Amino acid sequence: MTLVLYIYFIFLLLMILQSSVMLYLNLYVWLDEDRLLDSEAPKKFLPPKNSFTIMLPAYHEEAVLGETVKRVAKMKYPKKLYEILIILQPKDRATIRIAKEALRKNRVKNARVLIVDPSHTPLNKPYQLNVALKHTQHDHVVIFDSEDEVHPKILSIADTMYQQKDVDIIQAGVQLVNYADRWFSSANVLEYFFWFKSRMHAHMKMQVAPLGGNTVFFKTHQLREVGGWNEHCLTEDAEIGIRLCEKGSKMCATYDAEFVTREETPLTVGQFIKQRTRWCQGFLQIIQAGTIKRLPSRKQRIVAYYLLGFPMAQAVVTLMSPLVLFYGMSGDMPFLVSMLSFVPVLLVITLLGTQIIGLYEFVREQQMAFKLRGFVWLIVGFIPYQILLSIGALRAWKRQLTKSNDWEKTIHVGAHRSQPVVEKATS
Amino acid sequence: MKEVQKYISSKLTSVRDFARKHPDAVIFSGIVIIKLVVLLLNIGKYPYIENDEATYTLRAASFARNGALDYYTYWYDHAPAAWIIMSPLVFINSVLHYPISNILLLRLFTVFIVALSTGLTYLIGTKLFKQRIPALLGAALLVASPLAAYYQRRILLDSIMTFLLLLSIYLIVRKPRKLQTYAMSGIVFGLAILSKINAAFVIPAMWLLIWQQLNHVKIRRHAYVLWTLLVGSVTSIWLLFAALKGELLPYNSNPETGAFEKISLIDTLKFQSARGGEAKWPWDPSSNAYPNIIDWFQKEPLLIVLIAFAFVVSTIMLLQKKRREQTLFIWLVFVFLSSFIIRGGVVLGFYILPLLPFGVLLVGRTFSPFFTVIKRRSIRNTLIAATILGILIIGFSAMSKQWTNDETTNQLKAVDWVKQNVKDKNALIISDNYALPYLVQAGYTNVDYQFKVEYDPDVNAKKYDKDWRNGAYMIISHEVLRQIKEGTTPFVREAFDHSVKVADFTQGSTSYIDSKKYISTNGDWAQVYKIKSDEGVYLQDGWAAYKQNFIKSYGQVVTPKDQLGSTTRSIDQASTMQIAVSENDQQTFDGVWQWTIDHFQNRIDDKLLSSGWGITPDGKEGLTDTNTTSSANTQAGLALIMAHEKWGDAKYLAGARRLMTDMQSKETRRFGDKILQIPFVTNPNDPSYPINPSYGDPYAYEKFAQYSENSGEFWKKMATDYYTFIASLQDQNTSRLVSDWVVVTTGGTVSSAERLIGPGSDGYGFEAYKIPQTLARAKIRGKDPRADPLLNRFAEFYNTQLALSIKNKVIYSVYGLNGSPLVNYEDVATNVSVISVFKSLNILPKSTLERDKLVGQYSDKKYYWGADKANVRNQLDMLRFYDLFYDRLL
Repeated sequence: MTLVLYIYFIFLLLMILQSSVMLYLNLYVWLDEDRLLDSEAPKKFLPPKNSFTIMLPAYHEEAVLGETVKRVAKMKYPKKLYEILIILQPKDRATIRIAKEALRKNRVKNARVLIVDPSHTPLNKPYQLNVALKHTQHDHVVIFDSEDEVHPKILSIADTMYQQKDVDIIQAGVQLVNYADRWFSSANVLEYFFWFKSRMHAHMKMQVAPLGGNTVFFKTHQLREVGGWNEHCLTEDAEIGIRLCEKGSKMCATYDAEFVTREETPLTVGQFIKQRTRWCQGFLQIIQAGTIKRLPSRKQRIVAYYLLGFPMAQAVVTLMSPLVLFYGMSGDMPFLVSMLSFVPVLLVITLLGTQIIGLYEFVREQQMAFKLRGFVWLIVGFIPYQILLSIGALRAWKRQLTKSNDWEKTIHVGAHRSQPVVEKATS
Repeated sequence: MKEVQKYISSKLTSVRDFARKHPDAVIFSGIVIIKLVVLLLNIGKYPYIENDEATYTLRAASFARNGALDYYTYWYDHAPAAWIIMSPLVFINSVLHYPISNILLLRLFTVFIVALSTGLTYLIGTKLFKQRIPALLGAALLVASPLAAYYQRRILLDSIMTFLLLLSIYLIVRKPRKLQTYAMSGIVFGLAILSKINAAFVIPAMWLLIWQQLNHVKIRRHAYVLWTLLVGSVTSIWLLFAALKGELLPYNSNPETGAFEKISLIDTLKFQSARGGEAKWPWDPSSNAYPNIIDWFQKEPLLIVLIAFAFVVSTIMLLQKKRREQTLFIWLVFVFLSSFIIRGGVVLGFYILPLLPFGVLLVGRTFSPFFTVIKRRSIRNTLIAATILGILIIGFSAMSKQWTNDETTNQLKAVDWVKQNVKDKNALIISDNYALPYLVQAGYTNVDYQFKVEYDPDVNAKKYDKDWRNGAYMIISHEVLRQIKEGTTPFVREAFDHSVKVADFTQGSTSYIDSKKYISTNGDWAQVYKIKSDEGVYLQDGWAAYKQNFIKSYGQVVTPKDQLGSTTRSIDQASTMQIAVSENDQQTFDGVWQWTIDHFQNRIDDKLLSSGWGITPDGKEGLTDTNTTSSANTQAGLALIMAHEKWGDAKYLAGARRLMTDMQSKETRRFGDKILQIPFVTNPNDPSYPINPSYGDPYAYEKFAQYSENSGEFWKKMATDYYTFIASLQDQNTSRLVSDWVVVTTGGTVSSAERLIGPGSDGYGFEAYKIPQTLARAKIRGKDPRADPLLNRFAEFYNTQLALSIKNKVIYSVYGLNGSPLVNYEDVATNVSVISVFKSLNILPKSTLERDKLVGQYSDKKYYWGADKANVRNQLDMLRFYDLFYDRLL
């Protein structure tokens, strides 16, 4: 009994710690008014100085790529200071056709379509990026996904930030927007909201961050120095972030509702789980590869382990919670332990409260219509969503153990493009 | 030397620089230190230890020891955060083997918390009013307030709640304003509610404060949600705890008794909120708030007037938009906290504690413009300094009593008395709560708080078996008397009413104490009482019932009519007087004796008492038997001597001597070589007299000898002759019994009285049965060894009879002199004789005999012995029996 009690007590403490840290990171940017203002994009842009290569890797994205090409081609940035590289696979003829058609229709001169070597193994996104890296002619590289709805001033923002701040990598905001489409959409949207608006800033401050897959700006020479992206990692974006941290690259983040890159939530629960599985498995791969161990400071290593191990720990906690709560409520506990049993629940309720406010703020920022069902699903779907995350994490474990490393592609239909777009006047 | 000077100079410079950069931190520290000193002076001795202090100390100790929320069953009367916060200190104290008492330790802790609260009041004032003058004025008032200090010296939830409330507010108003400090504020505010739930009244004001302090709408949103959710989360832990234990939801209380059969948080909250009745305006004298406001006013009239004035002015200020923002929050908090006081329900003096910081800030805000209008800085600063100095001087001079008076020594002496005199650590002790932490720490396992003894089934039913007579001692104090007086503790009152004071610690007390009327005006004293034994209780209750049933008018003992038509007999008057002396009931004694003088002492030639009063043959009330009864005169004389010994009044002795003189000349005769008491005044020349052996009383004779002015030897001989006479009567038959009546010739020859008195007078019956009782009193009270052989002879007879009736142990009421029973019943009064014999010789044959024969006859609820409560003989014999054999403290 005593041993069980001690285990229970330690588990409770871990749950409390995890919930508290999550609450802290979610609210990180709101903790301080200066920090909140600093997290936003510059309101005034300096005269363009830096040049960029926009990498647009795609595979079977004929439904969305055309629109994306059109948007990136219309960047409000001097044409001579940026180029577009659309990286495609030879067998993906439909997408190749759509890409070429889009370039032609929009009379894009500063763009190229790169067809990668079909015999290369593995034939995946990091390989496509590495191919593009060889053809890059500019100082900086930025990646967008084929379904991204990119703000036309995003290059100006990055350029101004590069001029104002001593940074190497800029992670700009990415935001899922179709918050009321499916029962898990609002929770999924909020994950992005808190991740890019708040948590990413905390990660950057600690100089260790698993970067996002798009709207992330690099210095070309640094990418070349580290040998580009890891073609054997399912989360090459996170992996290269850790490696660049190891090399001492300086990072910063920006999130501004107006300038975020808008994306869509997965179409189905299955798609969602597959996406999560890939992310979690990618994180596992990074941990297993020992990349974290090479980070220069202990603090960075601890944070990196926490960030990459979090989904797994979350899964364990979620699945154990009913047992823990049942034991806590039915057992004859000492007073303090009984009281502690409630604390994780109360923290989760507090977390949910902050999420509701987050969703409200997101809807207002994005000038979207308030849809009650989004809020209802957020509350009702809170626990089921955690279960989905846990399933994804467990699948990742399983795939990693069985060495299934194939890429489970997420299908995009451009649902986010039906949402209104924030266009504010900027000076 | 130069280096030292340089070092000191550099340090002074750095202190000066710090003060210049952080003036508020310096002022804050100064306020805290001064307040700390003000409260620490004489903290161990003033004020007296109050019940609540002990409650929270005990709870902190229980939590520190075994994680329990209460020393008793926790019943949700208060949320537990305050004593949980204090428990680590108590734990450390126990680890260090109590270098100081827990109560003193927690008083020190409270004082520290209160000093910080005063500093926080200043800081909050500076932040809210954006200037120092109102905050300084408010803090000065609080530092120098004797009213505040009186309550702040005690271990009270209100002090801890106030500190947490102020800290929560400070976390919101301090800069830089960060969301995490708002979160911290929410947690602290939740703890404030869990320290005392009236903090919840302030929540709307706190929302307003967050609104006022945070300009950034996005952060404000999160601040609201986070603060509110964290307050709710912390608070809900208490509710969840109750739910987990199945003690949240209402339980159907017993509608008749109102007692909770099962603990329920909601029931308790309902009960607590219903205490004290409906809401009334504070100026209504019948409201609960009114007497407290008067008390506060008496303690510090200036502060109360200033706060009232400032409140009115602040209310007007709210109409001005410019000033509204600065004042509104403080004003609202003041109003919300005040609403708790005027809500109805119980109001206690220390409920003012949370109000004071906000009250003084309103005062500071109201009066600060008088200073700010002065443009010249030097004049303004001088005036402010003078005002603050004036506040401090006035306050401190009114506080001197708190620094010098000793209100706890008497309390602690009572505790020490118990430690030294009550060796049984399991003895059931009903106590004022203040003593519990000390006695529990000393290992007393069954010392219990009066309210728990009254209401807690774990104590009342399990320890006391719902019978206060199982208690051993009581520690009586101001609070115990107050609760008895208010009628909240009837069980405790019964115990107190049947207790005898064994230790008194009232030296130097400022309290007016009248224990009989349950009146006390201050708590600086304590007494220890011992609860009487069962027998002592029987005696007390039996006496009360006896008085109610038999004593009429101002002292007439009225009984059923006898064959002469008498309803009042001199012997009953005399016996009643004796019991009154034993019960220390001088008023009744005087009444009965006066009635006896007025109605029985009316003979022309002597002061002897006539025998009977009732309805005369002509139908009028008057003397029904004008002759004397010598036993009545003997017992009346003895009663008067007892009264003299007890109350020291010479008039009683004078009365006794008059009776003794007349008895000597008219109710005694020489029979051969013996002098015996004759039953009544009769012809002095008769050749023989009927003698009732039970009328004689050697114990009385010895007392008469002691107090007689010139007949000491006469009465001594009376005593000696009585023993010889009874022995000679016993010798006349094998049963060793003595007949009710005999006839004795002046030559000393004894013969049957049947011819003279009537049939049955030769038996050992309802007259002679008193002889063993008389002998027993001579042995026990008079310590006269001559009674022993006579008592032994009676004992032999009774043992024989008990041996004959093994099953039911009957000793019949009347026997022939040959030892055979003449009736087939037993009787309370005659059984008293049987038990008296055995007890006086300390040879009670069966331990249960006494209870079987006597206690079994006692009607617990009606307080009389035997089937017939009108049987005065039974009642008087029993009262005399208990008076003789039981020290009331045993």
